[in-house]
Amino acid sequence: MSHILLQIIIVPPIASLFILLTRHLIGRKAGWIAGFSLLYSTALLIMACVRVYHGEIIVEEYPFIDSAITFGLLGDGLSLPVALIINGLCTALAFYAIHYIDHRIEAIYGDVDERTYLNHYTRFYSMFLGFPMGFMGVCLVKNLIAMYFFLEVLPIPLYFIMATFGYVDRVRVAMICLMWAVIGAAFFLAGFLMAYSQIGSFNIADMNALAGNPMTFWIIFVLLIAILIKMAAVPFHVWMPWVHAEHPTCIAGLLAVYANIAAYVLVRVIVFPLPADFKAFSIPLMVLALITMVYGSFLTMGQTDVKRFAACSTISQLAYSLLGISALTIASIEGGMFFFLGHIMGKTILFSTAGILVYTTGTRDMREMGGLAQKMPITTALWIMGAMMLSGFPPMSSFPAEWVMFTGIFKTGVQTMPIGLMVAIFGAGAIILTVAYTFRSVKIIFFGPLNPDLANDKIKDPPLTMSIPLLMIAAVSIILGVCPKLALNLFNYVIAGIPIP
Amino acid sequence: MATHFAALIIVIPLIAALFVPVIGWWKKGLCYPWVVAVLLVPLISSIGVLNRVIESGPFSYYLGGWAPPWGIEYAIDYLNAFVLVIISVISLIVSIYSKKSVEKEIPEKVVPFYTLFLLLVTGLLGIVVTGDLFNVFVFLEIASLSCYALIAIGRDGAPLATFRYIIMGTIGASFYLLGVGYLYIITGSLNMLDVARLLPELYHSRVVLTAGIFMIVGIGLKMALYPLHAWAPNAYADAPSTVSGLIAPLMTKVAAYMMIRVMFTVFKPVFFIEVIPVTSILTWMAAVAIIIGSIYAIAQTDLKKMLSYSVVAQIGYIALGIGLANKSGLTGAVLHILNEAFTKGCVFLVAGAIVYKMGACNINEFKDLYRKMPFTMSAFLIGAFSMVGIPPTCGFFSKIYLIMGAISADKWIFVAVLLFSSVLNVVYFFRVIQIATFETPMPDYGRDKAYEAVYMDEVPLSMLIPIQIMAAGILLSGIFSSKIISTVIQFVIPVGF
Repeated sequence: MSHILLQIIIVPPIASLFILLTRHLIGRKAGWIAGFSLLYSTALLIMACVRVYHGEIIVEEYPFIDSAITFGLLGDGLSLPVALIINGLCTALAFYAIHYIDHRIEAIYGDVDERTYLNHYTRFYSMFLGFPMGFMGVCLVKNLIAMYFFLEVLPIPLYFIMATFGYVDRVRVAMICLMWAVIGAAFFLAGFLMAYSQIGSFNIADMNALAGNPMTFWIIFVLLIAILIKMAAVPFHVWMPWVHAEHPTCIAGLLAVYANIAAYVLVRVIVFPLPADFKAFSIPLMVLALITMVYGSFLTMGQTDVKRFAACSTISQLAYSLLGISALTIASIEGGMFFFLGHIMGKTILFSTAGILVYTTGTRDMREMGGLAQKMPITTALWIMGAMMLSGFPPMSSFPAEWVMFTGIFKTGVQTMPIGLMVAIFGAGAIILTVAYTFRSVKIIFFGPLNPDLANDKIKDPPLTMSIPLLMIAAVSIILGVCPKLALNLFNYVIAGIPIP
Repeated sequence: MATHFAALIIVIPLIAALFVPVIGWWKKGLCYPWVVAVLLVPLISSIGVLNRVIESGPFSYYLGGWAPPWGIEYAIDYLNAFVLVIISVISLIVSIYSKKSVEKEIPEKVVPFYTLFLLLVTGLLGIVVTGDLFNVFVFLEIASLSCYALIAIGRDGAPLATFRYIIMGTIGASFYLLGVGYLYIITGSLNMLDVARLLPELYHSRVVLTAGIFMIVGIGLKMALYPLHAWAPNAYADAPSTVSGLIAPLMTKVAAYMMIRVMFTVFKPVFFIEVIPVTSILTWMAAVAIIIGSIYAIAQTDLKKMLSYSVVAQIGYIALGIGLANKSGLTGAVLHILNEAFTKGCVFLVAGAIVYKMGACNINEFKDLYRKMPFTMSAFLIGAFSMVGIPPTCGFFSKIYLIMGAISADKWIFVAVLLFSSVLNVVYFFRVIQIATFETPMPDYGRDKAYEAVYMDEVPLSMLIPIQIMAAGILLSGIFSSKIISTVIQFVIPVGF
């Protein structure tokens, strides 16, 4: 199969354009078209992953304008599994959204004529496909400018989808989100250009020429600010609960990916080429990550809104990946990346289930729910599985991820007594907080006495197009949890090559 | 024919301008096709000139066969061939757009409008094409005087705005003329290349120093460089929409061209960098312009006024690139001239389209505008993306070169200013998009009456197509920016950078 990586990136925009141009012809089939085009690119990614699993590295170069400037794509053990899981989530959410967005249009715009309805419906899908394009681009490119381009593309569909289909305060919050994204992107651009001014190349593979350069400290510093803004780490976390509370839940999982993709950028652009220079940031970042974890957990416990609940937990969970990566051992980085995948799967399930709850009950307040387990068994199972994924329970994939990650973190911790060890111990302790808040929510929402207002026949499990994609994600997580080698071996091809100082 | 392209660029529109009143006296409706047809000539000629420069390098043309320094020489190199193409493309697109807008806004002044329009274009082209310092002044006056008149036929506040512009513009032109006079006193020549050859030995003469400063301040006034910008926002906002669509993308950019010409051709770069450190002052003025212009833009409620302040901010970018005086910075500045021409052209034409449909352009009244005018507003969106610097629009690439220029000059403060200005641009452009695109949110199921249907109400094709061409220009010049730089702009950079 030739041009496999290029196809992965350009299939979504082509499908998007097709949906946009033929919206009155295809009508409500737009969702299926988007879903199947993403299934196709997921299949391509699986093929690519199999090739990489057997030791190959896929490199593609395309001339851009003239032959001097090329657009390079790299599929290796780090980029492909991340791309595969993200694309899988996009696919699942495309199917999930078929019903959900129908419901949102009805809720926001009331009864509208078919033409207006189709305009809204297809607008969602043609914009939605911007996400897989952006994510795949960030994962696969070899060039900093191309990476910046794809990072900058992502907030645009986010802004429009949120402002068109979100909840009450959507327009204002979309603006908040866009502003934070632009500020983050400005720091990315500054960092990339600083790197360029030192090495004269935008190629990520040439970044290791920066090692030992006195400027490198500041380059990493500026890029870290950008990454922390994207990841919503503590001083920059303000936007996350707002944004997560107001957007439609069908892109909620992608918003978690949008924030988390910064972890991938961190490994790809900073940790992988420049581990020795990154070492200086290791302990401060670990402390910051710990603060974020604990703060995020307590923030989550205080929430009563099911959507804000999931949002605040994202702040806390993102910090686990950050902790693992900044501990800077092979095991902790692999674990951190693996946890990132486990977390986005868990968060997608949790958010989408929150969407189902809002969709069926019509309220976002957890206290008004209760006893829903008897009415909605599948939804309950999904929420519990999401909770298990976040808390790192076996057999979910985040269990081996946390295991591997904390092995590495403790190794660093022992070397950097006493701060490192304390961070490691408290970090492991913070997992208990996750268990506490996730299972507390299970208890409040699904068990206990049934709220009399909800004791009608309308409260039932959602249509299959909403639950099956989520069950598939859970299945993938369980497979990776039972057989973590699948992902860890792939990561190991790349990450084992980092010369840990 | 092809050998006389350089002269045809200005001679044809100048003569044609004189015929417009005659044609208008005979039949008013013929003015429009006449102007569009005439403007094809400078377009073809300037493309021919650019082609010749790319193929065989810079050349000169002696007007009337008189050899310099006695006669007027048209010295064509990469820079002015490039700017000539920009001017002729933009003016042709705006002239196509003008028909409906002029009929609606100033129906009784169609004939003078088109006469002045051609004179303005002639002036702008003349400033760029000529290689003679005094000739630049002549064309500058042609352009300015026709510009004053064009602005004065605009909406209510226009005469006052014009008066301010006349005062400040005349001071600027006089300063420039004084500078040229001093140079003539000391060198005895007005030909740019001749002066450039004679000057280096005299760099420390007080006359030359004074001349340099006079010329830069004069051009700075014409360029609307902060703090000399006071005339610009009102003049652009109160002018008829077509006129703003022409002068906003071109007028200040031509002044920016003059600045590059004076700083790096007439004087050698070393003069303004080392003998008198104008460049470093220029960068600081530019940085202030970028921030203050953007902040003023945020404060506006009138779309045209907001865009006018945005012009002030964007001129700061160009001045910053010139002031950085290194390869990346100047590349960014020249690329930004192209970007600004298309982007400001696009957004001002959109503003004109909105005025055409709504009679005014108060941002707070833009509700549902996107649904009424989807194609126009999509073009606005592309323009906004370019202003913010979102790839693959041209604005991204010019900004990236400017930032690299700031980095290689080791002036990190300007990197911060450029990046911060993107954020400010997001604030004021997305505010417009937000009002025009999204309706006021209300709680779910909170809608007590049906979703109101809004019907598409687009502007006529003669306005829509130019807008779309401008938007396409933004994207194409972005996608092909590396090609443009490698074929044209890299030769603009003076030796020694």
